[in-house]
Amino acid sequence: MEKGGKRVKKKPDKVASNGSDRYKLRLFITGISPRSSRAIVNIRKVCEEHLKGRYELEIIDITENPALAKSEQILAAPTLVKKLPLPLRRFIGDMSETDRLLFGLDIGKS
Amino acid sequence: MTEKSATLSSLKAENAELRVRLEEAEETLRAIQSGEVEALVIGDQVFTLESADAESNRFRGEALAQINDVVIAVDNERRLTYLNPAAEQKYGVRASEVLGLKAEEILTVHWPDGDKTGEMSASLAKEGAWRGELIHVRRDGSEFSLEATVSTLSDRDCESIGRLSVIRDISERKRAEKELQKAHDELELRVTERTKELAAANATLKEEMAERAKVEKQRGDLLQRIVSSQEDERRRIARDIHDKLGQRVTALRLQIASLSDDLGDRDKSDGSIELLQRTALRLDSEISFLAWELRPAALDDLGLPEAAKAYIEDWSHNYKISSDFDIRGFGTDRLLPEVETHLYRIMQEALNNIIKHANATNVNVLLERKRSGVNLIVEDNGKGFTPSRNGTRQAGDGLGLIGMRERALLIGGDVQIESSPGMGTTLFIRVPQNNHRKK
Repeated sequence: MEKGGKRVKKKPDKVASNGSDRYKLRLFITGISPRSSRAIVNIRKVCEEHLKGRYELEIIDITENPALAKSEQILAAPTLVKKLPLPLRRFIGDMSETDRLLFGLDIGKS
Repeated sequence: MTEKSATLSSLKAENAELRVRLEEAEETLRAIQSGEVEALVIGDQVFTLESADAESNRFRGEALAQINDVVIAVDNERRLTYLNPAAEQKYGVRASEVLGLKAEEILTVHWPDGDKTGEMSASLAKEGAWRGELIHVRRDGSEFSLEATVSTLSDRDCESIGRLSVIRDISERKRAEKELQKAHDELELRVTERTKELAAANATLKEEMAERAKVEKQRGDLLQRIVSSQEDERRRIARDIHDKLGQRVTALRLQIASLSDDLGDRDKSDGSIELLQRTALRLDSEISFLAWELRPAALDDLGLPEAAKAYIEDWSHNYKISSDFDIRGFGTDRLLPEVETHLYRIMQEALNNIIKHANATNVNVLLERKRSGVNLIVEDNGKGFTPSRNGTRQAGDGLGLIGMRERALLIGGDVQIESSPGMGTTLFIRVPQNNHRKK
C-alpha cells in the first residue's frame, strides 16, 4: 500500500488458507465510465467465478490518484495489475477477452 | 553455480522480463487501437482518450447520474453492470465495489403481494418491460418499498444482455397509505362504536317511548272509565231526579192547584197559595232542566244532533243569547256513544265558557259530519282573548279548555281555538272518521 494513496476501494476480500493461491489485484480506472465499469464487471466476474474467496481486488481511480499510477508504472487505463502471486503482471483493456485474461493470470488451468 | 551460468541465468531472466514488457507495450497499443483504453498516464498527468461516441456516452452518464431515481443494470447472470449515484446511496455501496457481483449481494427482493417473478419475466419477454411494486432489503437488513420499471437491455443484434431497472422509493407513499388506512380503520371502528351506542340509545328511547305510550294508554283508559262511570252516574241521578223528585214536585204542584180550586172564594191566604203554586211550578221546571242538563235522555234516545239542538234552544232561551244551530251531513246512522257523549259535553262546556267569560250576544254552532270525520264549531261574538302558545287562556280559567281537550283526546280528536280581543272566539273540534259506527 502506497503512502498517501487515495483508494477508490480497499476491500479485503476473503483470503484462502493456501497463501500461494492468494491473488492480490489492482484495477486502475478513470472514474465510473462505461469502459471502466465494463472492466470492473469483467474482472470481478472472472474473480468470482475462478478465485472466489481467495482474491483481493482494489479499484483505483487514476484521476484521483495519478501519483500512485505513476509509481505503479501505469501507462493507460483500464489496467489490471496482478501484484500476487508473483510475477507481477499488467493487463490493459476492458478485460473482455476472458480466455487471455485467465491465461495471463495463470488460472486458466484450474 | 558458476559465474558464467549465473550471468546466463540473469540474462535469461532479463530477456523474459523484457519480453513481458514488450508484450505489455503491444497489448497497450492493441487496447488503444481497439478503443478499450480511455486514458493514458504521461508523467504526472492523465490524458483522457475520447472515442467518437464519448460525447453521447458522457451525456447519458451525466443524465443517469443526476436523476433522483435509482438506476441499476444487471447482465443475464444478474451481475451488476451499472449503478447510478442514487443507487449507490440507496444501497449504501460504491459501484466500484459491487460491479460484477450478483445483484443478491447488495439486495434481496421481497414481494408484498406474492411472488411476481413469473409475471415479470412474461411481461419482459412479451413487451420488453414490466412495472410493479416490491420491497428491497439492503445488506444491513433495512428495507424500503419501491416501484420498479424494468426493461430488457439488448445489444446491437437485439440479443438480450440484461435488464435495466429504474426504481422509485415509495416508502413514504406506502407509509402515508398505511396511516390513511389506519385512520380509516379507526374511523370505521369509531363509527361502528358510535352506531352501536346510538342503536342502544335508540333502543332505550324506544323502550321509554313504549313505556310512556303504555302509561299514556293506561291513563286514557282510566280517564275513559272515569268519564264513562261519571256519565252513568249522571244518567242515574238524572233519572232519579226526573222520576222521583220530578214526579213528586209535579204531584205537589197538582195538589196545590187542587187545594186552590177547593178553597175557591174561601181562600184567606192572601196570595200565599198562589205564591206557593208559582214556586212549585218553577221548582218543577228547574228540576226538569237540572235532570236534562245532567244527562238528556234525548242523547241516548235520539242521538247527538237532536240532543244538541234541544240543549242549545234551551240554553239560548235560558240565557237570552240568540243562537243559530246548523246540522250538516248526518243521516240515520249514529256516532259511537262515547263520541256523542264527549262532543255533547264539549259543546256544553263551550257554551258554559261563553256565559262565564265571553259577554256575547250571539252564538253560532255547526255540527258537521264528513267522510273524514265530525266537526263541531262553536263561534261567539263576545269579547275574545289572546290565546297563548298552547292555546289556553293566558289568564283566568283554563280548566274548561283543558277538560275539552282531554275529552277530545279520548275520542282521538283535537280542539283548536281562534280568538283575539274584541273579535269573538271560535272553537274547532275535529274527530276523525274511525270513531263512527254504522247503525
